[in-house]
Amino acid sequence: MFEWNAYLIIIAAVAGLFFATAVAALVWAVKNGQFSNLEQGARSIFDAEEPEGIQQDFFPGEADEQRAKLEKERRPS
Amino acid sequence: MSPLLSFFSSIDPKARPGIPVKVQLSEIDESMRTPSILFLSAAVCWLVIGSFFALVASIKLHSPDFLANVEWLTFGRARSAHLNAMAFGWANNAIFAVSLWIMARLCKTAVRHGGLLIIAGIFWNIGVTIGVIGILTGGLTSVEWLEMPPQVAPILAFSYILIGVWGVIAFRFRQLGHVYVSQWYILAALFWFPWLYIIAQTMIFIEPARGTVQAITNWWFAHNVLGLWFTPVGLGAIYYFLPKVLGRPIYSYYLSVLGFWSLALFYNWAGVHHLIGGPIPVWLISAGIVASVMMVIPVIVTAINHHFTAVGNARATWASPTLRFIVFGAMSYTLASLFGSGMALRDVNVVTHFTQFTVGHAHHGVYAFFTMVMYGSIYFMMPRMLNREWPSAALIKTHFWCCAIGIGIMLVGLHVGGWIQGMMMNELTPDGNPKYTFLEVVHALVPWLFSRSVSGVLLTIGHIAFFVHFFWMLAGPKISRYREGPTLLLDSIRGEGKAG
Amino acid sequence: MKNLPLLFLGIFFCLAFSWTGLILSSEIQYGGLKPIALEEGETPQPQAIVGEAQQGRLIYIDQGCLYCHSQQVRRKGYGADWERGWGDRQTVPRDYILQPRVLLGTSRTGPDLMTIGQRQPSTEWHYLHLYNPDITSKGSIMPPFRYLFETREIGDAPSPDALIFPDDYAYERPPAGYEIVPTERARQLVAYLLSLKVDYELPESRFAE
Ligand code: HEC
Repeated sequence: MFEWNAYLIIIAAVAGLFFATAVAALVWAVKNGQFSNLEQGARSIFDAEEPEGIQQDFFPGEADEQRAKLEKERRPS
Repeated sequence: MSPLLSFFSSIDPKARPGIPVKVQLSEIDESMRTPSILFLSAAVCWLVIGSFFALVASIKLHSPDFLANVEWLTFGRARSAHLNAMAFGWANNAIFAVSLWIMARLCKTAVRHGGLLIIAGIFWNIGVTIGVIGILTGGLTSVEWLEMPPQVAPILAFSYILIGVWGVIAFRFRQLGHVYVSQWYILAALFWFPWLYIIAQTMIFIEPARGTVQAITNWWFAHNVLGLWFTPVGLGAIYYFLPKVLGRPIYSYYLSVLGFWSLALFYNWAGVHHLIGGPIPVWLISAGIVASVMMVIPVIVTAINHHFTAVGNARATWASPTLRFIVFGAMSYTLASLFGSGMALRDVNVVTHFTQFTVGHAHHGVYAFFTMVMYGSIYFMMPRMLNREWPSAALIKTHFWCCAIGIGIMLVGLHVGGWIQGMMMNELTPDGNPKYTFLEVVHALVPWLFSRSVSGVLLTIGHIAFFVHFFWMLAGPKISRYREGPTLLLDSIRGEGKAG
Repeated sequence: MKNLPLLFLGIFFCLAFSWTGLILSSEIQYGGLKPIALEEGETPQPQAIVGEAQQGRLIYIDQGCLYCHSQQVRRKGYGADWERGWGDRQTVPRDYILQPRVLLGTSRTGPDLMTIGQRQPSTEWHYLHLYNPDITSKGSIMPPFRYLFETREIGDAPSPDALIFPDDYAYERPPAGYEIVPTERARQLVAYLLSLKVDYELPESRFAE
């Protein structure tokens, strides 16, 4: 239909370049320690004010009741 | 110091050791308060306006004589006004509020010069208002997702840049070494949206590309608005609020990183699946199909991650207004994305393309996933910014149930109706003629279109409940203040929580 | 990743990659297509639409007909476009190169209109259909576009293009002494619809292919 083979080659080249850069960046990032301590990042959303392990949100007016139920559920385990 | 330099140093909220976390956090919430509330108020107003247009358009589709002689509400204009009011009015305002707030909190930086943000926000909303009025009065462009007259694009682009840059500034001056997934998603989205928008405006209106390259640009943009703007912000919000509310860190941080980059790589290319079978080179369509199918990777990865974070916490989820909405949204994301990948397959697409199935799918993503997540986020943010509880649990429940049932009806109606429409359209008799005339297909579709109007009524009731509740909360501080403790984190209750 | 520039580069590359791959490469590949004649001496096709029809396209755009009607014919065997009589050949990129705004459409709540000018060449039919689609197509959900017509007093003689309603739709008839005629906009719109034809072949797409 079109003479698209030539373009396909160009695109393949661009794609190849892209992936090469991506791989290089990845290797660099790992070596550089960008990925170290990943799981610690998961905890960075908690702080003393809104700490890990405590439910933060309830329907207005139902907090005490719900919290009590939650406690009861969790206690045996 | 030059004025410019002093401006920049005044942006930098230097770490101030010795100040308690609580004060710092509330200062951040405080600094985002006025801009966020401005964005959210605008968002909630657009939500109601958009619902009105949605209802009009939906009713017109099964009862074409409804308001038939009002030119500015003709079907094509009403549905476009609906789309733009929702996408640029509701969704973008909600994104600005939610993403900047999450960003500020995670970077632990207060926003300085919030006044600029407010001015930009006002201009944004003026732009959208002009745009929607433009659509209704004859400026409709008939370019999907870019229906507003191109003259408003500069207002929108400039005010966007003034808004988006605050997210970047907050990131630049963040105080922790760790960068949380939500920050990646939001930062990426803040970068992607303006590029998409400006390129699409340029290549379609200012210096139009020739022929169907326009259509490719159009769908590259339109699909990426979902994929690279709504989706990352929605996912960023889920990644923040789900662990935050439950008080449990995300199941696997590694998976979330993988999910991010695979999304960034594949979603970009998926838009062409809206042109399958159309007059564009076949290899482009193939690329679009491959990318759409590859989207299964980020989706499954994200689903696993969310599932294992929330698993075993059904009661806690149900007890929190935020999580009810957010978990609903997260589950819809998985389902909608898997449907989307399926719809890109040629054999499925030949049935669903051009039918109401696609419309249903769009609402699956934008409403059942994105909008529900935004509701959840707003339920979490507002009490913390205003330091005041939501006035009524009943209104939240009304909102939730109307929206959940409403969108449920719509999705079933449009998916089933669309499938029937597509099958009837394609079915041939043994001698190779269409089995059904076009009008027979139309008649078979009408009851399903009617079910959409029913769902529209429910959704609108939900939106009005939300609207009333939102402004009640803004206006009536004393009514419920300090009566209850949950989202306010009153000290007595916190103590109790810690004990357990 | 903690590094802003690196994160930014990754984010940038992903978008730039898809833009290059999808848009730039198709622009390079076929953005320069030209009208072409099959045999020497014939008029190169496609031809641009002109005059009233060109105005009509603007009406088509601002009324949002696109949200129910597509303008593309898919290849034989993929869907039932052919069997429904919507075209005798697949439409290809070259068919669209002279359209200032491409109106492919993604919805077929109504039939495809790529060849409506061949399929339904009657002006009267189109006027009646636009005025109230139910008249020509019982139970149609296409919106009536009555506001594209005007009721006016009959002058010396009735206008040739005054609408003639069948008895079932007598309620649409104007009071005695009046007539309903298309406005300029309706005339332009119908001229546009009649101009929508695929009655030429291109090297990359022949009839019955
Ligand atoms: C709500 C969706 C909708 C909109 C908007 C709409 N149509 Fe239609 N159209 C239909 C449906 C459904 C049919 C099939 C039934 C019929 O013939 O009315 C149709 C049929 C047609 C036909 C006849 C096609 C054929 O093959 O017989 C033409 C011509 C047409 N429409 C033109 C227009 C124009 C011009 C506009 C904009 C001014 C428009 N339509 C807007 C839904 C729509």
